[in-house]
Amino acid sequence: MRRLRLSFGVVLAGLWGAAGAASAMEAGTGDPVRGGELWAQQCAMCHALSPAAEEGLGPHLADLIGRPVAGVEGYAGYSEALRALAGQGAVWDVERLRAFLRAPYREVPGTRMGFGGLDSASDTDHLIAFLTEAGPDASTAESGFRVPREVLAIEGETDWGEFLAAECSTCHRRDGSADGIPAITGWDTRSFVTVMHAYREKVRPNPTMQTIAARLSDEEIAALAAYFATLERAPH
Amino acid sequence: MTVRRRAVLGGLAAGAGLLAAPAALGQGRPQVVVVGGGSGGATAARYLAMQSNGALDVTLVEPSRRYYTCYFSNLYLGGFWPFEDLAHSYAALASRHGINVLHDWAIGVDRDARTVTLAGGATLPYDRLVLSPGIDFVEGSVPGWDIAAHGRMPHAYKPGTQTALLRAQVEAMPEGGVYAMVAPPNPYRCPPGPYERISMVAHVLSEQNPTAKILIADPKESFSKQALFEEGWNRHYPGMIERVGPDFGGDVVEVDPEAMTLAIDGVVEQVDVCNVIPAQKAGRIAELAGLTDAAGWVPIDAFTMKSQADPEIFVLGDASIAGDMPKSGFSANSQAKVAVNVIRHELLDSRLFPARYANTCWSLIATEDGVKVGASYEPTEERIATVDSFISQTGESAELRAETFRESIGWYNGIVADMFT
Ligand SMILES: Cc1cc2nc3c(=O)[nH]c(=O)nc-3n(C[C@H](O)[C@H](O)[C@H](O)COP(=O)(O)OP(=O)(O)OC[C@H]3O[C@@H](n4cnc5c(N)ncnc54)[C@H](O)[C@@H]3O)c2cc1C
Repeated sequence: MRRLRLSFGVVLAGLWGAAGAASAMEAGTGDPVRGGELWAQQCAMCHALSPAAEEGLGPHLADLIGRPVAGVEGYAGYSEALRALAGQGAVWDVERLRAFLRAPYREVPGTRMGFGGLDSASDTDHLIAFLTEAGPDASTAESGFRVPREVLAIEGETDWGEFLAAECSTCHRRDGSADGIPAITGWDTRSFVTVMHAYREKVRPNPTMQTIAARLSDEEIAALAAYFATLERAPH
Repeated sequence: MTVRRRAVLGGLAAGAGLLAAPAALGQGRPQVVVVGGGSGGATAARYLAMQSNGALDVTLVEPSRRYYTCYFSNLYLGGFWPFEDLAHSYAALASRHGINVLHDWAIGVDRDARTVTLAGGATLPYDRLVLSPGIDFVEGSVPGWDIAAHGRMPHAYKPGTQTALLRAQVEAMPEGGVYAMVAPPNPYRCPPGPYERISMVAHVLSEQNPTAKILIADPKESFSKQALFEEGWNRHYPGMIERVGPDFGGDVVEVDPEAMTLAIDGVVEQVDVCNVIPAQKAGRIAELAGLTDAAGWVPIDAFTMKSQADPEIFVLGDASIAGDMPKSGFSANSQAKVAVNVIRHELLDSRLFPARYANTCWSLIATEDGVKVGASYEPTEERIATVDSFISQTGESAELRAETFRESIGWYNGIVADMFT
């Protein structure tokens, strides 16, 4: 606990405080190429890099560094927690982003982002380097995991999905609340299907989800997506 | 089906006077009785009611007014989880889902008449019966110990007051004292449970009583997540924990609760706490129903969770022989959903889906040092068999371990919501 608390809070804040401006840390020592790989594995299922891209589960991250928190107009999925931060005028500067990417649930309790955090400070540097370079319009850099169109087009059967969902409900709550395990209610089916396929192909980490997804057929994933889309997101 | 139900109701009318009110309400609706309101039973009752929209008459028989989970009881011992948060009420099952919750003991099952007898005197007719009574201890499995000794040498393997007692005993240990555990032989509930408990006790002792020692007498060659636990013990609690396996007599123990001694292969140790976790068998009602095998567990059909001895009785959770699945709350919850699907199909003609099972067991080794092991399973003719499995690795980063710990909290809140809300 002590070691973690230090590395997440005190030490980082202390260092940056000493360095003066957060901008001094910009891009830092990160490798944008490695960051691009991380982006493809961990972020691109839900986020686009271009404002022009089709809306994903999360907001687009074009020109993220320096952007106001919860600042994409027209994106409806922000949590109350992020909106509250935005209300205080918070901006996605490097310092905030670093802390957030390491431990999203801790930095912003109540965030809807279904991601547990990057494993190391160096990965965080790499990803930030990538996001910094990606800049205002980097749709070409987007190399995320893609599910074939015909698979995305499968119509899921909701009653089958409801049966299969019983397996999910041991951990993921049907009322959409979340703590330590992300909420999966009210997602659009395309995002749900993409994420589950990414687990099945072991592109997304987390062995529990990889094992669950491994034996789901395309039709079963579609059925689950259809069922969970009928449930409401948590009222935050 | 109709014929059979009429027969049941006829039988009821004949036995006038033994009717509890809930059964009377159920006229015309198929009746399902669930015995045991734990991981398997509460899940089964809730899903039966929730997914049948009132078409089933569901009765849950459970003596306790609140269910204390075994899961996270070790975290309570370690000071990571409040005792109150282990307790869960049956109120929502009754008020929200219309389940008849009867706080009573089932003391007999008449399989020919298809009735369950309760200690309070009622007789409940059923079309389908679900038994999820958890475990009982095998008498005489630890020489010198019997259930009357659990005040001095707690098992803390059925939850609630026993867990609180064990914690009080740990806190009262003299400086440099000895905490002993008699670990159980296979099979038993929660394979990593004793070793997570050792971790949590070591955590408390390393902060409050760092010269204290922990001694484990273990009849098993090896145990669940052993490499992960041993790595963690060496790192977090060096020199504190000693485990005596069967090679050195860990399987030949005797205790004396009056003298507070533990003898391992004849060598007598004076100890300050002695946590005796005896050998286990299915909860007694399964035996009374005539469903258990020679070892005391219930053979089941892997496709349905039906007892092999009686197609109208489903046996869930620890009491069942669930093949490759460990005896865990997660497993019991998963099995309940398979049984519910079959029961709804048989009684209400709903769609039957192929059975599938899953389990993940998280354990906490030290502050924010969480690990997990899990698998997916499918039924085969012989048993419930593993499809795919995973386990945390030694040498993982502190961040990943912390993330795994947070995940376990999400799981805890998830499963109790899946049982009780
Ligand atoms: C220390 C410890 C830690 C654990 N940690 C975990 C964990 O982290 N994750 C996990 O998945 N599992 C864990 N488990 C295992 C888990 O608690 C059990 O496997 C699970 O509860 C089994 O469910 P069940 O329905 O078979 O029995 P239980 O949950 O024990 O429920 C049985 C219920 O039946 C009732 N009952 C018994 N007989 C009768 C009768 N005759 N009439 C009426 N009611 C009756 C009992 O009062 C009880 O409420 C742990 C266990 C222990 C001891």
